[in-house]
Amino acid sequence: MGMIFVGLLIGIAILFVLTMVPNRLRKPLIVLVTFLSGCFYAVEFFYPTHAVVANKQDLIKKYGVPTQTAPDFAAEAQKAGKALDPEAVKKLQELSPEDAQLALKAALEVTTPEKPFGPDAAEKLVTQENFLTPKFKDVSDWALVLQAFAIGLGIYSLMSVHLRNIAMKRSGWGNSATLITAIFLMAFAHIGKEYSSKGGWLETLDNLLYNGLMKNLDATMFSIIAFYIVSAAYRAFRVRSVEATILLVAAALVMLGNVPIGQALTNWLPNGKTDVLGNLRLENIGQWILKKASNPATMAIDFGLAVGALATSLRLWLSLERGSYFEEEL
Amino acid sequence: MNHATWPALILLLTMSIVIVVTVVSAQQGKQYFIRRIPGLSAIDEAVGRAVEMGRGILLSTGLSDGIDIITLQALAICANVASSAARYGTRVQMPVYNSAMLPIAEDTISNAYNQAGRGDAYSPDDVRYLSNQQFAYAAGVAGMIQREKFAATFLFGTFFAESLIMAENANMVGAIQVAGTPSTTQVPFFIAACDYVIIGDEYYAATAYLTRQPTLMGSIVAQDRVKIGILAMVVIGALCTTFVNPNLFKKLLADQSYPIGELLQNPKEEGK
Repeated sequence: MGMIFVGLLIGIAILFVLTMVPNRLRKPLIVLVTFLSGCFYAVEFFYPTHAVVANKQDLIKKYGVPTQTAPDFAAEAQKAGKALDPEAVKKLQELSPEDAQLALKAALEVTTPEKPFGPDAAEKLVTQENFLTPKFKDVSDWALVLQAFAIGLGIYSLMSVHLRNIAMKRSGWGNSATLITAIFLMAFAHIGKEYSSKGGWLETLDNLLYNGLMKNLDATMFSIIAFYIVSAAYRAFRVRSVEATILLVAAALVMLGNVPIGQALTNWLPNGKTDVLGNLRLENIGQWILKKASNPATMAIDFGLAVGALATSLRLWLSLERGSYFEEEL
Repeated sequence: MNHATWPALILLLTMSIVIVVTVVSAQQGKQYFIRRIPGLSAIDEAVGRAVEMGRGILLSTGLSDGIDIITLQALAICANVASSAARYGTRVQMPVYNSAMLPIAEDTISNAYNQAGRGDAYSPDDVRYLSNQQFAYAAGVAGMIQREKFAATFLFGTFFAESLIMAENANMVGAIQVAGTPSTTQVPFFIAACDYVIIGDEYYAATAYLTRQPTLMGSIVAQDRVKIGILAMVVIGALCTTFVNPNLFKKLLADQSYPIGELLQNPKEEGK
């Protein structure tokens, strides 16, 4: 608790210092911080890795601190009366002696005659990391902490808009009043529940508001989508152009191929591997459209998106955009 | 944790170098051309219609838990729309899903108004936080659409199931809708419900197309060059897999230490 308080104070102090930075230094500072932050992730991703045992700390807690000696896999397995797959052993031998000892103990523990220790199990036990990987979580946590500072901003924005609505008696101010009442009531019930006795009225109120009201309203909104799908599909599938017609035909075939009644329409056609006519069964046509037409198109779009994301990321990381972000280029 | 294999390292570095060199050359004055994209031309049309009708414009950057590239790109597009709208005196409203995005969105939209010379028209109420619950946000946006009767809506960013709730409500009030998302699972919903949809990497081309800034133009041209390279690799890979060794690229890309010479020497054994 004390550490959190100290961290909070340091964070506030850093934010205060940052507000004092002169305008002419702000851009270089942002460029530097952005570059260094990106560097961490880039180096962590590109730097060569070595094999380590997954969840090492948990295994040390369980089996104790290992020695520096490399284990004899065959002998240890024989001693335990268990058999290890040679491919899996090859994978475990990539580990350092200490890690290999821990991995061997874990492997022998999960191996049973019905479930032998194979390459897939070894894959789960061995992970790749470099000198930066252990710090990855800490750096990601920093980003979360920075975002946490913004939580209050959201509540402030919401309150200021709706309190102004109430104060000026704008149209629909009653809705704003309901919203603010709901925020306070929910916060009161949820925070109060944490500090009250189990099964008390605050827990009942929290349960009523969250499980009884909020979750059901969420489900209601979700279920409305079914009706919107119908109305959107009706507009999209009207035969207005060649493209809309192709869309309609393809959608009809895929839909029919996926419902029993559609499959029943063509189930008189032979469906053997060598039967050419089997290709005309509706379920096969539907699957063909999905796998041979839709999937490649989606993959092509994904390629373009990935390259676009890379280019945008590089522009931001290397601060290639002149002026500040989104500003008119000079 | 994912890490780069050697082929991935070489490929990514090559792609990055191509992008950076092209962007820098564009900044140094080299002229590039990008073709007309109908979906992006529709942005001006939608803004124009809102101006004619004297009704507002809704901007949404979708649902994103963090500040990511997709949302920042969406914000860049929205900033351009806001700037055009402000120039003609049309009000834009932007409900925000993620509170961390709120100050960035406020700053961006207020800058857009200033750039248009209409800083006085910007109201802090126009960019507001709604909720970080998916359907609460959708309900909030739907409510805004019904109350304000927007003439145009721009839905850019990461969307999930709530996309149809927003798009269909906007359709009910007769708004012209332009949407764009990199989520390929949501594109069909937008195509069904919206007037214009920006798909695939057009999403990242939008700001270049709208602003014609050399840096962004260079970036788009670089993306096309990289895509041509990837396409060439796909063709070469297909030919090699068919005629040289079925497992050549599978092994090469999966295992950083696999000797390529060994694969080429024993094609039959590897092809089993």
